[in-house]
Amino acid sequence: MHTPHQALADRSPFKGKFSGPSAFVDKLQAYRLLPFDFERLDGDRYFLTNMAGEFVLASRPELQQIVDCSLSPVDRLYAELKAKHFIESGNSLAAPELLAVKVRTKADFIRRFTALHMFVVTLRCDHSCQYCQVSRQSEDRIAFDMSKDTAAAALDFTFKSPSPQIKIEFQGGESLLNFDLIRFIVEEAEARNSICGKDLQFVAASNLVPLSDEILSFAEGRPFYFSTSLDGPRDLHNRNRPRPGGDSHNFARTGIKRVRDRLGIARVSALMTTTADSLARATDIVDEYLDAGFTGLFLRPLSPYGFAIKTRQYYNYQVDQWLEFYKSALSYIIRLNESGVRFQEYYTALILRKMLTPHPTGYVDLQNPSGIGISAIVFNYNGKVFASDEARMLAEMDDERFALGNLTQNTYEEIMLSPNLVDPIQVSVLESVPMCSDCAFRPYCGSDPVFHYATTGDFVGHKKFSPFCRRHMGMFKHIIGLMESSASTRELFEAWAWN
Amino acid sequence: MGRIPRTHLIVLIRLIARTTPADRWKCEILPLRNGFAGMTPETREHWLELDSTVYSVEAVAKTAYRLADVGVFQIEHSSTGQLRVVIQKCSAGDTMECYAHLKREFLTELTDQLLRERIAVQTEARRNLILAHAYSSSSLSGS
Repeated sequence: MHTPHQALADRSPFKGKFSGPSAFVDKLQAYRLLPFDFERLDGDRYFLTNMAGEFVLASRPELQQIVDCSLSPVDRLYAELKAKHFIESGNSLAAPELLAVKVRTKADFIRRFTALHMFVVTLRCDHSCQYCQVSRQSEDRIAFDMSKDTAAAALDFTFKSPSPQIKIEFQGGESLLNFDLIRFIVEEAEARNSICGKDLQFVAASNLVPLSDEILSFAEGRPFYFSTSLDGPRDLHNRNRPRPGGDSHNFARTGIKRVRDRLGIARVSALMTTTADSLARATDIVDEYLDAGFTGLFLRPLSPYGFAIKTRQYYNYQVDQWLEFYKSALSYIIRLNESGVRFQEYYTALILRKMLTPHPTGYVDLQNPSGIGISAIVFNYNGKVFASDEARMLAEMDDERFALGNLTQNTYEEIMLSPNLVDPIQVSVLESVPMCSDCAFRPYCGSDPVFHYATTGDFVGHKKFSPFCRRHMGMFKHIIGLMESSASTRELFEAWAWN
Repeated sequence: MGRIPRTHLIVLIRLIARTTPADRWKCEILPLRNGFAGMTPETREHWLELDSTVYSVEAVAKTAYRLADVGVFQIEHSSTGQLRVVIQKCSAGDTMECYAHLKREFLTELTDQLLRERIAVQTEARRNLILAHAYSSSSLSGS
């Protein structure tokens, strides 16, 4: 094989005066393998990842050569494998030490501990979305509002977190229907933080129907953000999100504009949920987000909780159908970028950040060990503490498997060391899960014990039949294929990863 | 894992997760209560015989696990002590082509599993060292 080294040697003015690079290889210093996993993509192509998620693509014969330790330092793959710490040579501990630092960096979310604290300030909601993951209550049922005492206890808990960043997210129901409590929580948190000095942020998850000038005035001058739902064009959004008087879409779009006009463009974000009606509307949904002035969207599938199960919405489409929808939307977004329109798909960007950068992400669903409790925690309106928002949704379906305790009855230590939290995290660590333990996509994936418990009855499930595994495998392989097939897409994805 | 008693044919491979890498895969061998009662003569024809000095039970079991969505496999010891994989069901269809395809898939995946085993054996010490270092506050070089 004519290698780049040889080509260089051929052009060298010293040609003939020196031996080629292969002559300088120390035959006694053969390389050794460092831990890595691999996955067959299709046919002869293999995807290899080291412990930190850096990857290399190789053919089957090349993979065999790597494992046989028969690669030569002048072979194409050798330098890449060594630079990315798939192999080592000599007696230095530099390679494992550097690799350990990379692994430690990727796992930094464990050290930071719980940052996201979700306060379910009310279950009341004016919408009656068929896919709602929460068992909402009608607007007049104030029995489902969080009390000030409970909120104060939740704040006590929140400020015990060692995390230097604290994000308090107000969830519902429709959170803004209990704005008085939100005001109380924000002011109390700010008072406590004047001593703690943490990086404090607030987010209200809202359909923006109750948005008022009073709320906007309160948010002004504070790190207070809004997160709303925008499912797509008016007909699709309104079909997904019915409410008395209709036109939820108009409230969402008007609310987005009001927040931006008053507080700035970055103060409001939107999420979409994919229903069966969305599947054929990928480009319409992207266009809706562009029209609303967003520079990206998060393509989110339905989750198997709450009304999505009761109304059987969750069963209306299969993973493969969602993947086709995802691919179609992503293809359109790539074309938009190629034509000069800056727009991201945030789910893809999260995965790319894991693939192409040394940094961890804060996305709980794709964390290993699972981020339940240790990255995000939920305080329900009645003082019950749950390991995640999905765990709370499960409890609304009368399954309290992930209930960690009660703010008024249990200490911080009792809640964070609850068997209902420790057991699922421990059991679902991917390094010990069948199939995940030798999966090359493990560094990019998450364990999500709540999803698997909800769908299979145990924290792990059989990955070959797991919609979670199927969806993410499909996404990983598609993203890799896109990067391989086009240099411009690779460049675009690099930009998304580092953005 | 010691030799599997011939009377204890594997009906199901229950893969039990452990939290330590060393024994994270454990095959639990369950006795076959009804012999071959559940199998038709046709399905008994679709099998692979594997040299047990080349292929470990773990590698074969992992392969069966990874292909669980496309086939149902029974792993047993043959009368000569070799490993035998009987394909009880091919999800793609009950045709010779489907079974032949599944056999090829099984062998391809099994070869990959052997490679994974080799990597795991060669790198186990390094893996433990890296994990210990990554999750501690100490330095390997002492600097």
